[in-house]
Amino acid sequence: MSETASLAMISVQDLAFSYPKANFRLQVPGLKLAAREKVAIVGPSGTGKTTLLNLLAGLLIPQHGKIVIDDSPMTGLRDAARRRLRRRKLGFVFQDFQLIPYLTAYDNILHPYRLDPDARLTAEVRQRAAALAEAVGVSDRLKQLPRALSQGEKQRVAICRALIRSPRLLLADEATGNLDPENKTLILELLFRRVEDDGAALLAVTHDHGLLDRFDRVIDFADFRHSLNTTSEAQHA
Amino acid sequence: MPSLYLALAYLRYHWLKSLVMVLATGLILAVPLVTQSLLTRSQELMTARAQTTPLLLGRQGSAMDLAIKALYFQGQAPQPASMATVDQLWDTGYADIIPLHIRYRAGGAAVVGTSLDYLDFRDFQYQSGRAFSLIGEVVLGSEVARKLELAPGQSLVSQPENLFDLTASYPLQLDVVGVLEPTGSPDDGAIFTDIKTSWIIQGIGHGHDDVIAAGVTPDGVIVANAAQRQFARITDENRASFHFHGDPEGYPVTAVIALPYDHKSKTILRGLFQSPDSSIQAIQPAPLIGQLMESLFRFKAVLDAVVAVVALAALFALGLAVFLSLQLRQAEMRTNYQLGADRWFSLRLVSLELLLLLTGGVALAALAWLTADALVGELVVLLIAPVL
Repeated sequence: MSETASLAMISVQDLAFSYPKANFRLQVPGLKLAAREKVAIVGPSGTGKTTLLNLLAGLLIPQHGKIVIDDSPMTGLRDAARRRLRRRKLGFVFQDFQLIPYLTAYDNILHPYRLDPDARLTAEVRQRAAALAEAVGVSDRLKQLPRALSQGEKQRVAICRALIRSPRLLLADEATGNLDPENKTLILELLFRRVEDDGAALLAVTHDHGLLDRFDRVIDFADFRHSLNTTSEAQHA
Repeated sequence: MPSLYLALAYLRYHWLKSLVMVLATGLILAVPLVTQSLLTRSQELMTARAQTTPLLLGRQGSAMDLAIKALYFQGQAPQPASMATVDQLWDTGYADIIPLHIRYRAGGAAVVGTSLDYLDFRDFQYQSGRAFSLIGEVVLGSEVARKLELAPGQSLVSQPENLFDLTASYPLQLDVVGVLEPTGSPDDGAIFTDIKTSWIIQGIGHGHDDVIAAGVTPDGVIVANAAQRQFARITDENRASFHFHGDPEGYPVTAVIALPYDHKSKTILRGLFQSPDSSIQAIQPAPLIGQLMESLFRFKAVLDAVVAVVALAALFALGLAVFLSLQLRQAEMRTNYQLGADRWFSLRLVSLELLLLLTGGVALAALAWLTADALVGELVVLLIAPVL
């Protein structure tokens, strides 16, 4: 983590969430991420890793607690405001890529702009999309539909889509899960580089322990041994 | 407009499904439009034709057969009246009389044997050439000339009624001397000639070499040469040899158009042939064709009901296709939601897609309707003729 990571980009306080009619409860007393900080979340399935990402993204509403992303509170907002905040400050990289099948790689990268009624698809944005594609090595595949792309290419396109709006928080859920070892390292390096360049924060759920030493911190949901760094806490009951 | 871009991209990606939906929508909309257009136009054409023909006379029998044959040159030929009727009508002094003899065909078109008065009555204009003036000469309706690619100076041959009847009339070569301007009426699909020519086609009149005696029997009877040549084409050289056999008053006419000089004359003429004993009937085509059109429109009402049921079924099928499509797009909708799409984005996107499909369907239906409207004259003839 660089020296500029001292200010909290993401702040979670006293967070509590449980699914209705389910014997599951996630509690996070405190969690802070600084700009350019790269944090990994590990732990067995069903321990709440993806739930935490969904809470941070405003896709789930906590019963208790507060989430602040880049000075904007996510909790307590109405649905429309949460969606707006998600559009403008968050980037998502999914395990199964979730590219839109009928859009070309280029249009998939630009998709977040088309979802935002206030955003304009300017020439600058298009140049940025092309630059991102160049940076991740898919510039020659931009006219292809997702079905014509390899797994690695799909994930790179998904990363471009997540980064196109320069998000303050990048959430990656098993982003390298479907990739071969070579591509895993490559994709992770790309994510790290973009996070560094954009001054964002990265919170990545992963099962790949071989990559953990590349992160600034690791939060383990399995044994509540939260972090190699002491600046955050997560507790799972 | 991003939603429009995405909607178009979706429809392009699923082009076959989109095409089927556009075609289905287009058909649902086009069928009632086209049938309405065709029926309305055919009603106009048929009614106008009937209304411009004040009185029609012919042999007792089906009034409808008589009207359809005399006005549209279609359908079963009624039993013929005779030239005696024509003479009788002239003698009343109440109307101008136009005989029609419509029995034979040439190049697939009806050959209408009549007088020059018919050409004046229908106010024909000539694309090229002139009216017939001699036996053997014909004037072609515009469609006949177009289809057979004939022009003045060329000829065509009449079709025998029955190819296997050796005693029947034999083909006569007809010389084209004029082509009419299009009229948008059944006249476009007919061939006009002098009624004498149509009698020659029937075999009532003919021309042949001079009879040269082959010999004389012991009791003094002159025997003609069996090799005597009968002419199949009327030329300047042989025209004088053409002659008719039998009583001219008995020559057949299919129908007679009477153009009464005034309303009173028309009433008197109708009255003359209203007796149950009369072998001739006088009909007013307009109310008769009006009845036929009413029947057609009753049929259309049934057709509309069938189309409505089919359209409803098709709409259910389209609705099911859209519903199943939405089910298959749950992942896409979920992704859009996760990326921050607003609440109405998916609804807007799907609505736009449906609107585009509907627009395509409407455009297709409009195209079909405009095409049908442009070709309505020909289509009416094609569609109505077999019915008649």
